[in-house]
Amino acid sequence: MSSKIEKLVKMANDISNFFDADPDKTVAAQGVKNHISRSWELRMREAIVDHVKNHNGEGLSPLAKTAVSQITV
Amino acid sequence: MSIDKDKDYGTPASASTELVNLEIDGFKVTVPAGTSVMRAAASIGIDIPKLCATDSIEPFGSCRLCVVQIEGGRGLPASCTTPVFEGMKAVTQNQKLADVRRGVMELYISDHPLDCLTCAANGDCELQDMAGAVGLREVRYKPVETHLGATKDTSNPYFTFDPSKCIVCQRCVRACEETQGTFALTIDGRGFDSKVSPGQNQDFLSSECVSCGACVQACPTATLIENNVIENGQPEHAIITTCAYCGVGCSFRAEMKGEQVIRMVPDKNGQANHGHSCVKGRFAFGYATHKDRITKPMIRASIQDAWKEVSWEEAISYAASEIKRIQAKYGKESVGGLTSSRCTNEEAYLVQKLIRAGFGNNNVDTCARVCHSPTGYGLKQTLGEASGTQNFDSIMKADVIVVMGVNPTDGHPVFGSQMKKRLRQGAKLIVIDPREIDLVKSPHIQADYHLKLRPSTNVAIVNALAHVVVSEGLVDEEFVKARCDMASFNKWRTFVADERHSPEATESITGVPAADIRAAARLYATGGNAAFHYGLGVTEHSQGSTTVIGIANLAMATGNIGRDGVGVNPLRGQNNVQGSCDMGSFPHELPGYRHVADPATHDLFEKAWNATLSTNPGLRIPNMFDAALDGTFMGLYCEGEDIAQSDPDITHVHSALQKMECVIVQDIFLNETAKFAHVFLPGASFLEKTGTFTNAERRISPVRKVMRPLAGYADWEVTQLLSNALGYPMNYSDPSEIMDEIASLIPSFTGVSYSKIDELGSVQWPCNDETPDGTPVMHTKEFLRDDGKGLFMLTEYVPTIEKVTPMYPLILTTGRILAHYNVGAQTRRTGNVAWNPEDLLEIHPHDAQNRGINDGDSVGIKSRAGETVLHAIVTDRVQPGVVYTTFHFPESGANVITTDNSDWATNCPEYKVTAVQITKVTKDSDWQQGYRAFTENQLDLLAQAANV
Repeated sequence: MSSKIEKLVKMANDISNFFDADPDKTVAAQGVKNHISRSWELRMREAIVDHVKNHNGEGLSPLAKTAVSQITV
Repeated sequence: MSIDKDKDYGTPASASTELVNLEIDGFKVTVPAGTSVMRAAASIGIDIPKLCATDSIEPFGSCRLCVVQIEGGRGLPASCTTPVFEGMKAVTQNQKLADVRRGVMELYISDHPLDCLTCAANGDCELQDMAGAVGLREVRYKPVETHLGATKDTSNPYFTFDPSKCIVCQRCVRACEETQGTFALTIDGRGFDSKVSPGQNQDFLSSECVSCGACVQACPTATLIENNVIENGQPEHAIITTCAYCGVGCSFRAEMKGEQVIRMVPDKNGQANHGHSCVKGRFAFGYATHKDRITKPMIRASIQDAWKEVSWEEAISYAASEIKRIQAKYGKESVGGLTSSRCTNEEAYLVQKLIRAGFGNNNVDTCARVCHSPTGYGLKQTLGEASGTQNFDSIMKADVIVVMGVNPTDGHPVFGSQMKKRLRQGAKLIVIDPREIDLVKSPHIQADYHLKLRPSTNVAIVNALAHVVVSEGLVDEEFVKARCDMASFNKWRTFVADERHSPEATESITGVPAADIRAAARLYATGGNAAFHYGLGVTEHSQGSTTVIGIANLAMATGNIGRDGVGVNPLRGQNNVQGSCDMGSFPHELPGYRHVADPATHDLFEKAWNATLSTNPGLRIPNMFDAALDGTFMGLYCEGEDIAQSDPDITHVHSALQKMECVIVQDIFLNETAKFAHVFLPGASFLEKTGTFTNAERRISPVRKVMRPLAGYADWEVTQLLSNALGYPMNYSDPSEIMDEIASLIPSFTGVSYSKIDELGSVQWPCNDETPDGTPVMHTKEFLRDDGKGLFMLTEYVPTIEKVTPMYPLILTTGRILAHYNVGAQTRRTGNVAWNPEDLLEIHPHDAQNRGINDGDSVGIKSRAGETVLHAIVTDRVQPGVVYTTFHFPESGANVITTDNSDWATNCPEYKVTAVQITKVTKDSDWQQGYRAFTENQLDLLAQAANV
């Protein structure tokens, strides 16, 4: 995994750590998805989406992976 | 223009709403109950002679010059200490009073040097004025002993203390106590031997004096007087402007002689500072004309090249061509810019407009990224607006004050003084901080609870406080039901009620005894009006946003929001960090905190700006660095920010800057970032331009030009030149036009204009049709979220990944000190270095002893990111296991050590938590040696500029 992807994975996991507090995991995933969609620059979103599509989201927490898989770029 | 001073009414105004009718010298007057006779007389233009009274401090009644006669009363009471009563008839002038006053003056003058013509206070001396007012014509006393030979104290870099001119009126002592709250001055000795003394017969510099200037301001003679006045004489005109240091945003009279600032005097009408100041705003303005100012534009192809001074036209043309070249080569998204929180609202607005409309992307960010971006996120989510909820004066109605992760007496000194005043009046104090900040124990102030938590455990503490509120039935159910989103509240209540959040369960995490947390929570919830104040010790963590959310949750749950005396109060760092955020400096938000993809907002701005705007969020500062190293972000326009010093993991930042093909720096000095620049556009200090700053209480205050820009242009003009050169036209002829445009686009600014600011002095947004005079306290009826309800959010504590290990066993945390401001580019170029000439490392005696470290030793500080060397100061202000330093000197390399770990929501760096090892060393670190060589080389390249 490149250092660039490593950073993005860490960022996505940090975000999911916050939303993971919600017992409703659908709501939690929506929170992660919205946060990334609304605050990440396009190159970053494309890279993390690609990481899930082509590298099975290695390193992502289950919640982060679920959320990223719902992001369209 | 003139030097007209504000009238001194002699004693403070009474806040009573009850009115009293009386007669003074036959004139009828009605004043609030509690008003002094002196003030009542002054209110109708009758100025009673006075020396020991001034309206910034309580009356003292010692000089006896202000005596009056009251019909039916006995003797000659002092008018300053005599309150009015209904039907009172007072006489301020008759022969008997004149004789007494002349006698008093005769005694004063008998022990005063008669050097009026050569005295620095000539023309601004109340003693001289009073001698004239009472008609003193001779001094009959021939004292055998005087104070005329007393030695001057010139230790303070900004003012001189000449005790030979002191009349022992104690105005300075009282100002130090009442206005500043430091209690550094006292009257030493008794009777004839009485004299003003800083500390225990120390000189001013080595005493506890914080050089706020309150004593100088209060002195009626030349005893305490600014060195600038001694050297240059009295100013001849004054212009009201706003300080460019911290987020308090003090109003000042710039007292001028032509275009030379003689002194900055705090404006008694200033609504943020009420006539008070700190050492930075009051005295540390000399940087503005420092010899290091660069006043000619410069360019160079590579940072290995010498700078070349060029015309403005050539510099702007070169900068624009480089931006175009890079975009043509690497794509539209390959460039971006940073707005400045030191510049005006109008300037921040223009920079982000240039980037969005001129560059064609949203790659704009600001220094709030590294300080209060979690405030913006957390408060916007929960309360609906990205700002503090109160005005500063609200603190005077607080019964309980919580201070978390902020050190107001150093970072926001004028508000710190106001806070101390309220604490001396009896408000309770809870301090949540790993360090023993001054407020924990200072004269006449003792924190009721100091929750001395371990760094990085803020969320655990806030959750524990919330747990007590919920589990002990301290929720303000009525408030929550009426004002908050109940579904989110019920979810939150269940969440924090869980035993894992209890003070007992979190004690092992936070290090704070459970009983203290329980007691503090009870006090916060039930002690009356409770106001929560916080700063970077909350935000600069990996869970910074979570803590902000947790604080908002607490305030809502206990009903401590939406009225005077309560609220959630972020103390913002820089002078205009609130304003720069308001102006749309974040990459995902247009002005007014509206998302770039929001269709209505997008359409509004596209039409207003006549440009095609991107709906994609842009890069944040750290993302820009990463993209630069990735080869996709190659050009940066950086106005008034020093990312090469202020941002974390500096080695990474420097590598990114070196990778960029064009770095355009607009600043007043060749700052650290400029050493990596290819274009230098000389900026203007706050004294050289017109505009507005917005302080931590959302107060929009006027910044007024008091001298012409040294380089010829104000910063907004430079941005406009660059925009026009890039082909995106801007044609503002005055900053007021920019504000008019802002007001037309941001709903909470629709009532803001320069004429409104002139009329009111300043105005707090929201200012619109609903609140035409502004909004001191927010959320009074409903929160600003779409449904008007406050939203509770869940705040799970997630430990930081920055953990102590045997290799890095201590936690480094960072902060500020009174004398310096942020990266120090300004204050390092002033007399403030007399107090703090370098950054020091605070270390607890136990940790020091284990390592054989003594005061003053050179110590190496090594983290996973890097290593630097500082001198040590051994102190129990820090707890064992924690070390602390400031970041005001670039050669200290504080940010060589800090890591790139950051807040989950905003990427605000986790400056406050870095695992380190400390060792005694004998030489500077490799980084420091490299830094010195690099800096020497860059200064040499600068020196060649005029000759290339």
